Amino acid sequence: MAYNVLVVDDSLAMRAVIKKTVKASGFKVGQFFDALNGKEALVILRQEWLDLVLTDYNMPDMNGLQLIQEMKKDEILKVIPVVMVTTEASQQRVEEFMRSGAADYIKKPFTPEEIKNKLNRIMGEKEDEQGSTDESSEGLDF
Amino acid sequence: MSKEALMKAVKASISEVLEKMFFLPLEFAEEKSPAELWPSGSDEGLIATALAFQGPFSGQYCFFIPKHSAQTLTASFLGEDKKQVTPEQVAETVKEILNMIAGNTFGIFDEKAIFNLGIPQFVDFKKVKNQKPGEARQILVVVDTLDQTMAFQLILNA
Repeated sequence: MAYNVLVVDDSLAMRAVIKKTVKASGFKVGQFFDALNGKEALVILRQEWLDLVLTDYNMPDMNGLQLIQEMKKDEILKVIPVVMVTTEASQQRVEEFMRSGAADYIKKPFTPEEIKNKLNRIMGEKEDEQGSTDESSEGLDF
Repeated sequence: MSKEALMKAVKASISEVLEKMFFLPLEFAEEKSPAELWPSGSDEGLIATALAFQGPFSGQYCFFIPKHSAQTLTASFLGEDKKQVTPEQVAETVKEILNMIAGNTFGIFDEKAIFNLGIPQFVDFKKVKNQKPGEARQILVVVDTLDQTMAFQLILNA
């Protein structure tokens, strides 16, 4: 299965590098979408069919944490996994990301292996969850 | 706060970012001020970037790099030919280098503390380079990579 991925970062260069690194990691991507900040990301999330969001924390207008908080208020968007890709790696900040509902975080600088391992784990868990939900639904139907 | 511990964190961060994301072997050179390294500054095509930070201590993190070196780093970062990189890509890459190195420095220095980083901005080299060692608490790190020299300066508020 290939996933549609939204990359949110105010730096064009960093968005390009994240996409290049995700591709190099071997993680299966259907289509990439770009956003400059949380506000722009929300517009794209409400227009397109996205499977995963990779977002920076420190951005003008709406930061990565605010983006997660907005997504969690939306019944459709709240199930999309969000991974913080950030230089902000203090314990407190990471705890704040996870409390807000981030699926995980990737610290900049990163390697393709780190990205692949995290993304495969997150999407694997999501598919397992969906699989178990489907199985239980089938059980009820039966 | 120990200057030595902060210096160690700055150097560890620079090594990690430049080696991991730019595949650059590097050496730390003799400590010199940006004014000594680049006497005519922006006339030589020097790019100066600064980022304000706030936390248990506050100040400004600066990055100085000659334009031709920045083009080489940008090409390596984006996986493109040096001749094809645009001024916008160079500008964004320089800012991103500073952002990553600053964030990483504070994470290494004290992983329990929260530092809020500002957005990197280009600054007037003359204003920053004239900062004298006695005027502020600062850390200066000069890096040699292949045939390039760049410098990082961390100036703490009084």
